[in-house]
Amino acid sequence: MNGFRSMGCHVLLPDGLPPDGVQALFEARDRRFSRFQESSELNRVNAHPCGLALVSEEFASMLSLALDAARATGGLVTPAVGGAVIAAGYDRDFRCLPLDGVAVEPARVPSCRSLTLRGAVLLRTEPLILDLNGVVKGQTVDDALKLLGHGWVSAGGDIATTVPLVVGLPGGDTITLERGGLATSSIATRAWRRGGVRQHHLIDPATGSPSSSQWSDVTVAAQSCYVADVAAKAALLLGPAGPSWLDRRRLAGRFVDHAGRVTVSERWLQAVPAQQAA
Amino acid sequence: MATPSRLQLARRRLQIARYSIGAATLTAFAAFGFAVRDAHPATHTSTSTATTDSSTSSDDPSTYFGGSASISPAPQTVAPQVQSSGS
Repeated sequence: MNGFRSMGCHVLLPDGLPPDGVQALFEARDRRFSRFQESSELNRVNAHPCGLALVSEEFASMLSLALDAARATGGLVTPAVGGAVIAAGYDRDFRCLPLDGVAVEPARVPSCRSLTLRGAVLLRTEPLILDLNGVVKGQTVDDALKLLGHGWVSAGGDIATTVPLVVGLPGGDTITLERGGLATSSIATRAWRRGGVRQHHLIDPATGSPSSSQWSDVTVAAQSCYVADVAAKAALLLGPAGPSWLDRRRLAGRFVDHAGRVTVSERWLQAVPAQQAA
Repeated sequence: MATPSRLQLARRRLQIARYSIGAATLTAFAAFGFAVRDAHPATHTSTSTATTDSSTSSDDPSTYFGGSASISPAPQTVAPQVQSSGS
């Protein structure tokens, strides 16, 4: 398979396409936005979590996308969860994370109202640790596809394509993604324990703790990978309200609960009728 | 023309330093003032980069999402080319 590893996942491209430009893009984004690279711009900005900071044009652009996502999801998918993710124990590269440790307390997720971005000037009026994980990977997949011009890009299952692509889904179903983006948000993998309590990376901003959603995996198809990823995260966090939330936004979504049962949104059912749970 | 004494030179340098510090402080204060003003909710417009919380827009389907991508059943004989396994 044609690809490489970046942002903690496998990035795949169609066979025969040179991955060099795409790989350079992913690595540059990872260097700027990683929580786990000490010299990243994100870590430099988070080193002083309150007050004024000057950020690069690319950082401002990505943060702006994250703020758009927060607005569009009513604050569910927010860049302000950095402190809560760390408080849950996710403080280093997942491969180096101890499987268990001392018990943790949830951290309050600040409102994005305490964050203002004007050009390259970022102001935080209360301590706010940023985590742009909610948008960086999806947007980078979209940008990589633009770089290729034609074909498809997949990063850890977040996909953008201009050609029909057969995609495997959690639980074993498959669909054809004709064009656009598809992303799955999951709390089934990338989990650990603190004080014996299961933790994962998807924080519910209302509680500051890892979400206790009934869904383990939510897959959404949208016009871009970035939007699909944002919608999948929001729909997972919304729990039972997730399918109707997607319906109101005319998005196709597929939900898998912790017992492996599948529920789909109306749009998904119209497009792929066989995949509604029995 | 008399050469300035060391004392006069020192006073001149001190004066320049005071002006510089004053100008820098004024600039920083003005920048901070504008930033704080922008941060205030009353100054937000629809294009503001500061976001709202869950009480204001969670049930307001917007054009942001732009509708679904086109999907269809996969041919049963074709193996998945990629897996969307979650992140």
